Amino acid sequence: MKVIKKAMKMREVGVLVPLLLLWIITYFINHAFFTSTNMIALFRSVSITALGAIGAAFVFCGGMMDVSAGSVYGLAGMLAAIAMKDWGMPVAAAILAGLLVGVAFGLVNSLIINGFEVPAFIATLGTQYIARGIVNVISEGRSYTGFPDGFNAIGGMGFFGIPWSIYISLMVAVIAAYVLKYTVFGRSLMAVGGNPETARTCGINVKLIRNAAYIINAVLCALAGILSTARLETAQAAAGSGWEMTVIAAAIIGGVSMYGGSATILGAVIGVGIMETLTVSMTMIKVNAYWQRVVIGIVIILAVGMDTFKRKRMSGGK
Amino acid sequence: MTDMSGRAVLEMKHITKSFSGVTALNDVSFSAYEGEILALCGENGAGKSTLMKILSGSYPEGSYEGQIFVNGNLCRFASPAQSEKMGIGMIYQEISMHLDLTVAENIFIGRWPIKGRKVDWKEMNEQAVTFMELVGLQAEPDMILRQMSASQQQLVSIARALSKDPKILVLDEPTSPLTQKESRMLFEILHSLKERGIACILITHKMEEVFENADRVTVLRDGNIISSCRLSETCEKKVITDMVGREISNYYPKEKAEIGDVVMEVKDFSVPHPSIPNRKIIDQVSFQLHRGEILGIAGLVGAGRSELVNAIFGKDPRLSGEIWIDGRKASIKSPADAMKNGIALLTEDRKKDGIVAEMSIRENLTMPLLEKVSRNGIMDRKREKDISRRYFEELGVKAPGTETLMRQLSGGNQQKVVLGKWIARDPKILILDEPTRGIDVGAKYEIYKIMVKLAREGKGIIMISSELPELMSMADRIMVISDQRIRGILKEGEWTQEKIMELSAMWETPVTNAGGHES
Repeated sequence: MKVIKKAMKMREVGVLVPLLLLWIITYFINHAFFTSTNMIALFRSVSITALGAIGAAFVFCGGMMDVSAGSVYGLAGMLAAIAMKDWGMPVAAAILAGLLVGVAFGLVNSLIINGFEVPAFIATLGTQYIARGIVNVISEGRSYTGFPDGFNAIGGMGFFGIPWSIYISLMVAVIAAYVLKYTVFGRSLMAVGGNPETARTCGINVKLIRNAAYIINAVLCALAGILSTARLETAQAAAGSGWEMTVIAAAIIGGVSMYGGSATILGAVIGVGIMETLTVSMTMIKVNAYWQRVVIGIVIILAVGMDTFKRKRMSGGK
Repeated sequence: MTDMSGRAVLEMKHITKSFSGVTALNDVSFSAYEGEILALCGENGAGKSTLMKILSGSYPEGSYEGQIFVNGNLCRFASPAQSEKMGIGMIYQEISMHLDLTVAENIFIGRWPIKGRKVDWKEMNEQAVTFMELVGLQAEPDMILRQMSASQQQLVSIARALSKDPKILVLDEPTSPLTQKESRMLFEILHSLKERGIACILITHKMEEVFENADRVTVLRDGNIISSCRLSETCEKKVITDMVGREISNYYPKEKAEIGDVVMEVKDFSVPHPSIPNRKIIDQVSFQLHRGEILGIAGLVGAGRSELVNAIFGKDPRLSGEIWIDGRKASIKSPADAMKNGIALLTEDRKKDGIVAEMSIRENLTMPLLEKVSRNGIMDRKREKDISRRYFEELGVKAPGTETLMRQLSGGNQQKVVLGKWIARDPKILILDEPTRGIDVGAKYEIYKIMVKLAREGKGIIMISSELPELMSMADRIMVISDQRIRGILKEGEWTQEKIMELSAMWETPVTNAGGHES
């Protein structure tokens, strides 16, 4: 009983309920929903997007914002592909090159935002264009396929018929949740997001913490881009367009506050579940793809609206 | 209650209000008469703000029980706009102004004079001058608020309230951003408003203000009216006793500590002006702080007291100057450097840079000691719990536990937590910038006691305060700063309120002829 009571109090429960409802509704409309193939496909999408949402959780938690995620995702996947196909690099080196894209853009974002004090939204909007531009320049707009088997295997099935991406994502989520809750870095990040001036006065290096959050975020986005390339066995110049909005929405739906100082990794992952299920179920019940975007848009606004409302209510009543 | 010659312009009857089961106001009835200054006193959480929020319409009709009569008419306020329409003006403790608009725009916001379909700027600026003169604000109506001092901004907010022609004016701690001189000016304004028949309700913690200005005083405690009487029928001690519900035998628990050697020496410190380029706010200031000493810093708002200590702590930049600690020169470029050198700073504005409101007491208490409550970057949960519990108890924070969020605490308890987090670092030098601002009498007393205890432990304490009685009672020496420089360091026995005020008001350099950067 106590366990159940405690569980009910966790804020993630508030997000889990709509996810389960969504699943049940979809099941009633289309019984094919709960088949193992469909569930594995769903969880595989969730696992890749979750990496981005975890990154977004770190950035939001520090009271910041990043809209370059989709382009970094695209560039990392593309660079890994070109490294293998055009430069003949081994798989491991190509993956490393892709991850370095994340490190590089994390650093560039930090430098622009914390060094030159350009507002985060504008700075990352700029790097979103830059990264997408580079994708098109280096690929000349072409798609790449025919990667070594070793690379494609990463996007395939692992132990017990479960895709590797799910194992990877699960591992990242556990580590991220631990870092956020039990490390000095996580506590500092929360403090920085909650009140940067107080954090600085307490001797916390605010810029360093924020830079680290940006780098973690960009590396996770790069990892997602590489996993997605491996899973599709294709690198496309347009890969990840608009993905930043999906991860931001997922994180916010999952209870990560846009205003900083509050984040839960589990919540962010469940948020991704809701976003991905929405897409899958709308497809299954044959909602026109254009209308799907309208629905997603509404969901994003509702999620942010709820976050703002919660904030207001908390600061309003004494 | 009391016999008043005037007419009751405001009557609040049987007001009861609770927040999720907790009673904030319990059957409160009170009135304000035409042409009087009524002081409303009470500790934080006594219900003053709640009562005034009901009056202002912030808590709409229906969210409480009871009735409000203005000039004998029953009023139902669904919004602040309706309350304003009935002639109720509010001036809040925290200045809520539009910093990037002009003085005139701030005064007439939402009620701009219109010519045709456009704002009539000329008319607006002219009208603004009338109200600026009324409050004694010396500035141009087209000046941007951001360039003005906090006290000037406060005067603008009063001008705005007056421009709406209120019959009842509520002032919530209006003098906290003001210096003593400016406060006196504010009360002159209040007295002239009173002459014009306006009822002024003054919410304040400062007893001098009550006894110098009010006609009547009403004390609230725990949501109940404890007493309500004319000033001639009461005394300071009684009001304080009513507020806290217990006798405070010794208002200032000052005990002499043994003064030791110099723990910190500040040499030739110059600090740039925060908002005016190429100007200094502190110029070539040097002083010493001893072990066991409480060094008070007096001065008017804007004299640069906070800027000086923030620069010493490495929080704000400085132009030049050295800090010597225990005879060794310290390199301080950030708060982290200052903390390593054994300095702690309790900042002036809790909300701005003292607390993280959405985090727990525990997380706030251990924020400057993360390296102490962790091992290899991993939090040591048990150690953190032990340490936070210890300081929570030592400081007597009134809250259900260490997991309570900071935003749920009253100002006084928040301040105890902020003080606690610095004490937990066991600093050699503790700088307290307005440590008792906006907190209730009981919490003040406890903070004084902690200061005395720390001084006896041999710590050097710097205390900035705008309340002279507090400084004179607690400090061993008082350093007066005005116009960029130290105007005098007074020892006990040498100081009087008049002497300190005189030094605070020493302005010699003309504003236009101030020194430039020299980095």
